[in-house]
Amino acid sequence: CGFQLRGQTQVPPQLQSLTLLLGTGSQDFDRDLRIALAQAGIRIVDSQPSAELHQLKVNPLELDDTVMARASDNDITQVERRIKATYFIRDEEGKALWGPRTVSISIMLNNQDAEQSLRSAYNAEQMQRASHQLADELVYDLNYATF
Amino acid sequence: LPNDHQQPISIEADKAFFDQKQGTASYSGNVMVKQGSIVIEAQQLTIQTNPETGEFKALNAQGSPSKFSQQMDQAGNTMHANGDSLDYDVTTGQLEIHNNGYLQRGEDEISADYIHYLLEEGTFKAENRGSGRVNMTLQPSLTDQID
Amino acid sequence: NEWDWVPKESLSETQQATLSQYCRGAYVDNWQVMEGNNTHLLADMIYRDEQGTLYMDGAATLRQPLSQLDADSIKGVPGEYYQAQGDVSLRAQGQLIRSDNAYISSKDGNQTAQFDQAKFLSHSSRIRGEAGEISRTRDGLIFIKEGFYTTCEPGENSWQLYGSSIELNPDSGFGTAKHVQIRIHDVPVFYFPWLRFPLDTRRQSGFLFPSFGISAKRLTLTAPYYLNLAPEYDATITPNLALPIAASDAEDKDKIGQGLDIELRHLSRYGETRYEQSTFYDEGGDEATLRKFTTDQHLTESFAVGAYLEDNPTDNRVPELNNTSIQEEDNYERRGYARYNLGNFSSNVQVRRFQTPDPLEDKPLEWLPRINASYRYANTQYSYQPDVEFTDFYEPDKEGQDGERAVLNQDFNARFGNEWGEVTAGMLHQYRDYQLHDYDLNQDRRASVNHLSYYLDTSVVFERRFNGSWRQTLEPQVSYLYAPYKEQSDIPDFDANEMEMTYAQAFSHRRFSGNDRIGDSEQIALGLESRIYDDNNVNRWTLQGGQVFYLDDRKVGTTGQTGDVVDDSARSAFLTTASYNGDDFTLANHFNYDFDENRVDLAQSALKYTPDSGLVFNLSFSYLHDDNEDEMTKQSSFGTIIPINDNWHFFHQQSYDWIDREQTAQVEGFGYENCCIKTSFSYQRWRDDDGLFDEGVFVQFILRSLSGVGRTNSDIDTIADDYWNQGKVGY
Repeated sequence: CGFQLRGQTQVPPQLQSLTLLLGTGSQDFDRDLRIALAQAGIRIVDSQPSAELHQLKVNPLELDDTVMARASDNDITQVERRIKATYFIRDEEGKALWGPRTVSISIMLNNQDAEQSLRSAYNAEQMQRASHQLADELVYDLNYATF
Repeated sequence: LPNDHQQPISIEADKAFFDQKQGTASYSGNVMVKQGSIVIEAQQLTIQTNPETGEFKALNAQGSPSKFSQQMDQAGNTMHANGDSLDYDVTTGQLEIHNNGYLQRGEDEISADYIHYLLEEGTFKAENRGSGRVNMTLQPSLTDQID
Repeated sequence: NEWDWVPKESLSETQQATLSQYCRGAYVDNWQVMEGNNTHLLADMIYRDEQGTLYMDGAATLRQPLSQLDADSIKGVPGEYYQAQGDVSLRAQGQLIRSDNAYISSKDGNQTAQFDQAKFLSHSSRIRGEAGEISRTRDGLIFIKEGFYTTCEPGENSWQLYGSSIELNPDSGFGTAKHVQIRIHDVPVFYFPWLRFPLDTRRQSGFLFPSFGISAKRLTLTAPYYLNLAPEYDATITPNLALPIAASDAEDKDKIGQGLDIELRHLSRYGETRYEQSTFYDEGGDEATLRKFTTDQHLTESFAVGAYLEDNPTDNRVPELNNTSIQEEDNYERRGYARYNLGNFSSNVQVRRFQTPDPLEDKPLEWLPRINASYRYANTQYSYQPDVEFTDFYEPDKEGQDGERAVLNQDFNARFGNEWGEVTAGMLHQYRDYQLHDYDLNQDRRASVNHLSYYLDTSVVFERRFNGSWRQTLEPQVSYLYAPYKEQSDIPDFDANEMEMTYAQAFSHRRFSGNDRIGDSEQIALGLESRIYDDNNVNRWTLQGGQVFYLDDRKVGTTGQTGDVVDDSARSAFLTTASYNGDDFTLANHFNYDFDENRVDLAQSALKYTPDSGLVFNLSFSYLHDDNEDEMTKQSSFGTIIPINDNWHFFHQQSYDWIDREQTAQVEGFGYENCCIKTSFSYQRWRDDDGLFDEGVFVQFILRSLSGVGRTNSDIDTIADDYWNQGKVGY
């Protein structure tokens, strides 16, 4: 049915090195993004954007919770959380060359009425995994940037 | 100045024509009239004098524009008026300006189709005779802002 | 068109963009600034008399640098007064006043213009009004006597604010009114002796307008007052009143009384600090208070400190009316923290305590303190991830165990692969060391565990193009995890929790969240993932299916001794997910089927459909199997907003608990919205925190640019809150 091994996917030359402007509001996601870029072999340069150095700007992450279930005392027990990251590739004047592009991921958070330490550990683990995967998806999306 | 009309009149012009019987004189071409502080310039000038007393009664000046100026007070403030046709009645101290009329007296500046100005009282009446509203400008010192 | 009103169709593209979908046009202010500071008089006839009085007749105009007065005739002495008659209008930047006659006097340099039977408009804030008399000072301060003002478009009278005297001050951005009456479609609905309200969005925060709620037995009234103490300080003070309408009896839920909400905000160069308090005195004079203090200060680029303190000083009594963000809880958190991040290194120290007013409630564990530090390193091949955490747990109930726990988690892996395939071999080192105190045995002891897990994740990616330039990937994934069994019976469970088995969990390397249990498992996870990308390379569908095959029994659980087999199944349920990410349609679906037990283990799906037509359709269903039936979850919820016509909407929500076989929430409501007003009427019935049912009628209306009115249901978030959208346009 037409499937073959995936061919060459390469981040366009203009994105081989980037400078970052991260306004995501989540330190975990910022770090995961830097790691995902490093794993994709993209060099992060800590300087102002220039003709040869584009800027990856990421807007604040958007979280949208849907209550899935409530306990008999009305406490929320399960939540579906959709996390969205919108990014741009910008030139030195701040003009968007590529984007806005949005990547999103949905996770289910259960046992939200557990004891405080249990719940914060559970939510932390789920959010770390989600942030890690969202960062990978954002970097994967860069492969298809066109200029 | 108040005693202007007792002053002698001097008139220069390219051409002049007298009609003793009628007591009228008409001048044309770079006409310049002086009487005390009054100065009149025009292309065409006709003067009406009292045939018996020879006293100067009134004049009509035509020009594009014809000009009339008079010193209003000892401090040297002068008023200026011009227009296509000026009728100056010496005995009543009234000046009528027809078509493209302009009067500047102290702080006030008026332009209108027709201006009727009383020299002593300093009062005037300006009218729109078809080519646009009367336009009067007041200096800021005189008026207070009402914004 | 006496209001400079331009319908939407003839507005420019940019002007149209600023309009909400409910506004049919805009006021266009074509005021031009004039150079110089002369005054220009224009008229068909100008006449000056001996006293120096000027008479202007016939389309008279008095144009000054900052304003222009037009009338049939104007009389006056420059610098002293002007009297205008007949079709009078005064224009200034963003303001227009129309009337039959006006008198402008320049007493002692300060000039005021008086208009009788006047109409008034402020273009930018879309405020227009009419009054027996309007006066305006030189700097734009407007006084309206016996008049009204509204933000409704000409010809639309959804609401008017009548006042004996209304003052609008464009500089402070505020208006005040005395003897205020609100009329909705000319029906007086509200009276208030005195009122302060915002004129523009610059200063608007919190409710600034008295709001009221009606229920069978009582009337509730709140009257917020906004104080801007200094550029970086502001406060909102909201007196609350609950008055009896009918005799209330003991078991009534709605109490009578009065109270006060206070919210103080301080903004500094480093961050924001906020204090909120809600206090209520019931009939018996008993005080009920909740308060909260939060601050977050970024002292440098890398270093931040903060505090989050909640408190219920009136032991377990909570205010009846409370508009603040601190609502009733079982445990009130007190946390102080400091953070230091640099590059990929991050660390923080926090102290976390709780106040648990209800003696029957279990007091949560406290962290006195918790310190953690983590670092991430990665290049195209290797990734190293060390996490260190030290927590001094304290059990306030002084039963069971608490103590100090030191944790080290290190994840190290190497990746080999190319564009179509990848193999990741990794090792996860987890070390715990405990200094425990056992209250029951009243003895101290140590415990520790050192654990190494090994994992191998492989995946191959196939791709194909279909229907034009859409793209589909097919990615078989195989993971092997070996986590040996390690004895952990003597380790208490402070924060360990077994995570439900889902597709993502199958390919993760940890069975328990938290740090007190290290799951033993030797397993192979097989999965197939397929993603579909549209012609713009946006990932629309993601489908996953897989299963875990266990090579050994699991002997670690969160309760009881480790070592006894907790799970001897040879394979997990069949785990699937399906999610769609569309512009106006999103779906998230998890479904696990257990072939051994022939039953559905887990079925959770959340669907949101929001087409441009304004329809909203939310559906959620959650089923989690549990051998013990009252631990099982089987709930569904359906919410919708249906636009009936351009302005009217109907919204409805039904949430049902299939286990308890009762409706956990029900909302029926409708809303009307246009350019200057948004109203919402809803009947809500919901299962409240005491398991009993609560119901209420919620009336809310917002008079655009005047601020909000009405009571929200602070116990439960429903479709009504989605529609209300804090009073903003649309939802």
